[in-house]
Amino acid sequence: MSGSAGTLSLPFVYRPSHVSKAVILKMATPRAVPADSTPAEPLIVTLTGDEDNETDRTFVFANEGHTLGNALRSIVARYPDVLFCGYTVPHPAEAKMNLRIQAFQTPALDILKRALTDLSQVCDHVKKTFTERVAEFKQSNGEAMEMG
Amino acid sequence: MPTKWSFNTFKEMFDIKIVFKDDMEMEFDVIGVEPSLANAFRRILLSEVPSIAIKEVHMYMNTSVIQDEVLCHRIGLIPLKANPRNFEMQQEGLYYFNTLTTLFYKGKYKTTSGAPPSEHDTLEFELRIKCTKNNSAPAKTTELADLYKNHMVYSKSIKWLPMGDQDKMFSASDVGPVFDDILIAKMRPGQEIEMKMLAGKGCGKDHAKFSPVCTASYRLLPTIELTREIDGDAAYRLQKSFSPGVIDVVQRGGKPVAVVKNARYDNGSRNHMLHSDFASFVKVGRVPDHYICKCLLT
Repeated sequence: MSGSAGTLSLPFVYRPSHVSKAVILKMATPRAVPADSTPAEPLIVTLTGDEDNETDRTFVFANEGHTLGNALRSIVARYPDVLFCGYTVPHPAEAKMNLRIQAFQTPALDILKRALTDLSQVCDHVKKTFTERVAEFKQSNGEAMEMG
Repeated sequence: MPTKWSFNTFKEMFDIKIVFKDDMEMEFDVIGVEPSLANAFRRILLSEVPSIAIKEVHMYMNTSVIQDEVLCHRIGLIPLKANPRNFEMQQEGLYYFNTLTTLFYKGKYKTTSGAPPSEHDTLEFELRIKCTKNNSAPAKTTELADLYKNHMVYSKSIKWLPMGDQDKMFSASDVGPVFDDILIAKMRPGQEIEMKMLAGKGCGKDHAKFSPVCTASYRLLPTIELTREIDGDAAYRLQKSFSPGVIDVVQRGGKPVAVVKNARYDNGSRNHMLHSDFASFVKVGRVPDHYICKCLLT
């Protein structure tokens, strides 16, 4: 079994008779499982109770909070077809965020998808502008340092 | 009532101005965002931008008065210069893979075993320091620095032990502690500390030691409006009631007149309200979408 300073290595490997040696060797090498290959819980779930129409939904985001919730809400609330949009973190000990969208005619899921892509666009634009400005600042200040 | 949202209006209104930037501090203005977005960026800076900090400490010797766990806690909080982009996240889980557990519980539990620390995701450091009596101290001195050697353990004593090919990629000044003068422990002759530390990548959500900023804050740009001309002695009193650089007193028609020079430096103290003769003629407000953001590193 591979190990570096500080890891335990068993002096023998217990092997029940019905398990073949090849299986043991395969399982004995630690598999590096990528952190997010198969997430255990889904990222977004809808709450029950809105099955009669598509325009109203409450989405439950796993591992999100005010950071995403408030940003999404502020964008969705300003869409033309939206009747209601609000978010809440039901309990601070649980990493869940509920976002409720109620619209006049557009399906709520479409509105959510549009908001997510819009927010992503906004963030890309902010990042691009910021990088440009920092580069300009460094350049103009580099020149000032040389002259001064 | 805010207008309907559109990306193009956002792009037109949005701008960033860098005011000040050096190695440790940055001040910049973000114009044209809503409070929720500015706050989201602030929260992300504090908790979701990863950095490298010491995660695991193997204590071999600690005869100082600082308890093991207190020492480890302090070590973990020391900011490291290493750039998290050069490292992968460490695999969570046990290093030592328990074959027995897998055989019997296969299918019931997800066996995510961590990999041993590797050069791609871990930095190894060492702190070995011994306090000794200084035999060549001047007689009858009471200065601790003269009496003892190594009685103060500073972060400059932390040595980097390169793993694998790391010494080809980084140098000690790239990955060591940001500051050399962080006091870790105090010792007296005969006491010794020997420990090995493993540093890895993490984010502030997990532990505040991983937060790359010590503060990330913002405030709104103030606006000051004088609805009536304030002159004479009142002008100087108005100037004093605000922070320096906010109000300027100029000569107009032979008398001193107060003029708003730069509302940015107002600190919100509202001291002008103390003066009843001009309190009602000074309107202090905020520009609702102009954020002055300040970040202090580590």
